[in-house]
Amino acid sequence: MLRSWILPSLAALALAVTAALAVYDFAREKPVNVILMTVESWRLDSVTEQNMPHLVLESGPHAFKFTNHRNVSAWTGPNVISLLSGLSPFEQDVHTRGDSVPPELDVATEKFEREGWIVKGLQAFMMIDLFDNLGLDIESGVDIKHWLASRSRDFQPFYLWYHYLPTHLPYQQKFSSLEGLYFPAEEDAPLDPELAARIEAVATQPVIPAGSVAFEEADRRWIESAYWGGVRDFDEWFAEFWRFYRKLGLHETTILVLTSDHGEELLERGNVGHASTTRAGHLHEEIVRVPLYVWLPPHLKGGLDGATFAHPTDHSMIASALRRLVGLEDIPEARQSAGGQPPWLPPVDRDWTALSSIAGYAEPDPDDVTQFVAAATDGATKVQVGVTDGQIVNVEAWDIEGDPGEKTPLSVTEPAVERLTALLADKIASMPSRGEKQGAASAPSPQIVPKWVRPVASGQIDYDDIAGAAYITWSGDDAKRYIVAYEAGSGALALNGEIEVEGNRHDFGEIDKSYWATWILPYGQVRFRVREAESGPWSEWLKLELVE
Amino acid sequence: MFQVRLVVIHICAAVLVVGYTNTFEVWQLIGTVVSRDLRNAVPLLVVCVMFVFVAGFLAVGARTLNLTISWRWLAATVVAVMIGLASTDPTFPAKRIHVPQYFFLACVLSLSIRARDRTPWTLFFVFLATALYGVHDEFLQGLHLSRTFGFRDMITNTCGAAAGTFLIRSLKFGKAQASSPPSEYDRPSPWVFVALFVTILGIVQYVMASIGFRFGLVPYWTVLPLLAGVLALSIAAERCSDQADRNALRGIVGICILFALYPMVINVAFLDFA
Repeated sequence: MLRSWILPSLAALALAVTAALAVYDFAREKPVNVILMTVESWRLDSVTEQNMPHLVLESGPHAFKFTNHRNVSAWTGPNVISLLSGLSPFEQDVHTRGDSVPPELDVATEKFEREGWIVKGLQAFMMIDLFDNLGLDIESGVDIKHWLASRSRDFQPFYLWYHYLPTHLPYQQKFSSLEGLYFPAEEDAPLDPELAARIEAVATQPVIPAGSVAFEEADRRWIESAYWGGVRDFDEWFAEFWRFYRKLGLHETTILVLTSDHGEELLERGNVGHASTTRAGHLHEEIVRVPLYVWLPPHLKGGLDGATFAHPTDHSMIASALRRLVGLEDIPEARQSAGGQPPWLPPVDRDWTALSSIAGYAEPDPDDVTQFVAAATDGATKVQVGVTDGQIVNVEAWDIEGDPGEKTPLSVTEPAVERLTALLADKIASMPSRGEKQGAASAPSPQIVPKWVRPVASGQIDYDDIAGAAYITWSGDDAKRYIVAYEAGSGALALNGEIEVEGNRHDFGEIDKSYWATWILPYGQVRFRVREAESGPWSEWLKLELVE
Repeated sequence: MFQVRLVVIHICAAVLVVGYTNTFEVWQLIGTVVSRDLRNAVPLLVVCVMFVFVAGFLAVGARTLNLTISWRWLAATVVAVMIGLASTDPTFPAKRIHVPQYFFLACVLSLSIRARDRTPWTLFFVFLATALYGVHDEFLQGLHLSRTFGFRDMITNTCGAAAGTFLIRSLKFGKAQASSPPSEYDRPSPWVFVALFVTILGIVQYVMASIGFRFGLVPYWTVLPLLAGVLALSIAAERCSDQADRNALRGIVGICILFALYPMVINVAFLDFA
């Protein structure tokens, strides 16, 4: 007989309540998160055991690896938009800075957001208008680890896009192994001054426009080494991320997609970089062949722990694949048994196509983009065409199975070439016409000229001036829309454009010191002026000299 | 009166444990006033003061309180203190304070049962209760914003608890405490020990699972085996004939029921468990 019922009752109650909570926790539907990680300028052939030991030997074997994956453009914007939205560059109407996906299009990430996912970006550069209308909420300056740690305990699923930037020009290796890399040495004799200048350009310039540096074939060896150094840094960074990711338990609940926005030319055609940096964009294999790794939570793996697939896939397929994986889209019946290939990312059922403006982000006149390059392949034959004013003006073709370096052109009259050329012509004809941009101001009316509030006057600015608070603001009605015109840099490193802003403040997000030093400082100077969007006089130019 | 004494002492013990969880702030404050070497010596100084106090007490007590000392158990006390001090991570000298903290806690908890009512098993149950408070200490630290949960610290706490219990065991106050239990002493049934064993296994499993889920949400199921053992123990304890043993076991049951709160707090409030 029990002398007292109190403690046994309390113990029974604690057991019953905890058991009920455990059953509820076990039975409830657990949301699946998504991390889309894109690596700037990361080409497929850089993935070797020597360059990327962690990816090749540790994390990669647990992934679904797609060895025949291609991007869809020659610069970052359309590729990332394609990954996030599922739209091809022919559909996006995004060809240079200032462009964004039309707001009326309902894209994949917006659908995720409507279904309850937190769709997020954490980097300041994502605040530019290129990535508008994608359902992305940008919270700049937040460290990815802190953000993931706080989200890992949450019940609400998230979709995070993170872009690893340091692999972009300039190639600056910071902490990984130098083994097997070649750097022209100065110990025995001073470097040839021209060689030293070329090395300096690759190590310090964020853009190297075609023709601005007279590279030689012998330069390829050290250029590749300089590039691989950055790739090695990424492998070490990813190794640390991987350990943190697993420690948080996110591998149990999260789909991790690792790919590149685009590849990088390393002197194959005489240049170093890609469309936005060379201003001579193309869609050769070194630009379009990129890695793709997908890690899945255990309940989505289907019993496999890593597999390699060689069927053709491309960036525009990823958005649908993710929606299928998280259960927001059904897998078409025809694909249910896909012959060993994952039904969520089966072979592309059409010819691959791609499109890019020649200068990408750095088009000289964003309001007048008339020159493009487009490409298509059926897996054996590849066609690349030049487009001016909507018309194909030149055609090149190669047998990419026998000639992966695209050195020996095929005859343009070959049937496969003609078919792919016709396909591209149709695609180009179907592109939305580029609407009139808000360019020229209407006749200024005698209205108040905006005055700069911050910075209050032209002058020098250094990192300390913008750390934690990179924004410009001007006088005027904060309920109105304004146009901010900017001109940055000079010569080969010149960029200009206009930004439409709601209210009288434009935020550039939180810019870290490394980003400032690597990609902003080289421009040397920037100037802004602003006016009301509807009409109105321009303000004075605000000229800012950028110093360290 | 038994129950009131038991409850009051355990409340004091719980308050002490919450205080122990926050002594790191005191440690940091000391570090702003004295040198690092002196600060690192503070736990050892506390142990020395503790030794001096105990020695003084024994010396005085032997003359005035008819105190009989079992040198075997006193030696075990010293050994437990030494093991406890040695078990701490040398890179964190502050952790040594756990030994005198749990030594003191064991002495406090031993007051929950009057000396003359103790059975051969009572002090063992008191030791278990003290060690369990040490486990709670680490779980509370796991929830604290600037502290972390450590299995090694649980070992240190247990050594401190053992030292305190051994000291109490080594002391016999004159004629007030019988040297052996009354002949009518009805030892706890084997089911008590079975339930106790299951409970301890449940605690070990819960601790291991919590280490595995560090930085994440500790799932509810991890505490179920422990609670099942506690339910069995609570029933077995109430069927215990001897009141001292029964109350000591009730203390253990009460302490163990509180473990159910951690997964609830972590999962509901999304607290970092680190």
